[in-house]
Amino acid sequence: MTTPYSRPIYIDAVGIGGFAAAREYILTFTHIETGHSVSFPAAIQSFSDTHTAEISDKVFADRMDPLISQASTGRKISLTFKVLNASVKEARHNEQSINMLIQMMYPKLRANGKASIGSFIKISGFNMLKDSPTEKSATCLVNKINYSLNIDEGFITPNTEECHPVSITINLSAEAIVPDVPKDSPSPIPTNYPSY
Amino acid sequence: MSYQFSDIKSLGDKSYFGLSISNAEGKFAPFSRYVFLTDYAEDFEAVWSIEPGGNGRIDKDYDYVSTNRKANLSFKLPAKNVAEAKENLDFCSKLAKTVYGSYSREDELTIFGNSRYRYNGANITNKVKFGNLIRNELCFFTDFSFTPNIDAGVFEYNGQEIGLVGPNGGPPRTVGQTQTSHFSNDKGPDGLISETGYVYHDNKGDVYPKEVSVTISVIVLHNYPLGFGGPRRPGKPLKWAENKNRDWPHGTGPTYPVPSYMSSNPVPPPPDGERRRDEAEGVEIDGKKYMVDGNGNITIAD
Repeated sequence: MTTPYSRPIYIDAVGIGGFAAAREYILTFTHIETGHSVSFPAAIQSFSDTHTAEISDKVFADRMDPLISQASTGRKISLTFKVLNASVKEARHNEQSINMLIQMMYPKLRANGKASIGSFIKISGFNMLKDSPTEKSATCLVNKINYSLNIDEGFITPNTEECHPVSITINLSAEAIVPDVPKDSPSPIPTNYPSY
Repeated sequence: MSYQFSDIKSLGDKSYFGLSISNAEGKFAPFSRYVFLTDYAEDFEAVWSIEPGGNGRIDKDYDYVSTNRKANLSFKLPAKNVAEAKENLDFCSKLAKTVYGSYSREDELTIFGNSRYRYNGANITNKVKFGNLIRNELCFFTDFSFTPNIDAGVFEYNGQEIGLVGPNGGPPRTVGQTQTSHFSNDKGPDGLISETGYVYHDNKGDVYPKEVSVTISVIVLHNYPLGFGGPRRPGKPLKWAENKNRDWPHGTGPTYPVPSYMSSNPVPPPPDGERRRDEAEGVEIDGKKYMVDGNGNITIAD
């Protein structure tokens, strides 16, 4: 296998896939190191984007306002979406897609089994998470993926050793990476970064 | 699987999987039970070493360290009779034991004549099987929480005597003794007692809850490589490292095809006289040497 694997959303007559594809409501995650990508219908439940200046401030007697020295600015992303299953086939397809997203949290390995390099993940398809007006994606360091079953919404149980929830909630916590800028850029921060 | 109410057992046997716990070293007999799942979540946390940059630097230095998998399960264990309530408590007792460390007794006694014990470290040889969600993986139990739901009621002792003499001419038996005896010897629709008829017991002072809520937290440990490429995928850096032609972490059944990057390839044997580093040296944890054999399975060296 020499080319990256790209996993599309599941589309049939009854599931959410057709609706999502018709409107291009599709979230795609790309593992930068391998190029593998996986897509989900963008059933986004919540999103937050927090920019925080990392500073150390000091106060002095008889001097109003702190003295601020800024190291950098961090951008933390939280994204929650649901994966919905309307059939056994869709449930299995989606389970493999979630597996692939989870696998993206793991590194490339050397021949001796040691981690060679971890990978950033590019998240694309959501217009409020993008690096620039033209690039509808953001590259992130994903710290955590939470995989949570929505028990009350029921299960699909094709056999005794297999059980797929009708609804799964996936929550990602990530740090966005500021993209590179052209050599002649006046600032290391891209002109249109961030864009909503 | 220990006794469970017949309706629950037959439904479970037909459609669901139970929660099964075993030990890779055979330290205890495997135990399992159908549970009423109320919450299930897994966290996959990537640990990165992040060095802060100098003042004004845009991005920091990110060094990947590892990825950890944790699972939290919450479930209820309802009971429709005394026997099931007792089995539920027994299941919880066994589960609670898994959180404790591993000890062994030494030959030598303390100066007070008591046994001397050696702490063998964390208990990392327990295995959990929970259908296609946790597939017989080594797990370290970090938490076990047990809450009897008192509002759901309890099965009580009943000391009321039945008749004037007992079956062998002795003192008359109590309701609790009679139900316990009948349930052990002749239960069923045509028996001396139905399954739902066993509602009193003969242990004075004890109560058995009709419902128990349990939460367990585990760190899942994997005895195979996780990532892309690696020793089992020579020349194939884009394929999933385990090379077992199976989905990971969650299963999708034996007949559903795995994606092409997960499919297995034959692994060429190492050249004569050479072994991979992990096979040759192994890893020592808590005084035990864990070796990886040619098939990638972990073995514990004597």
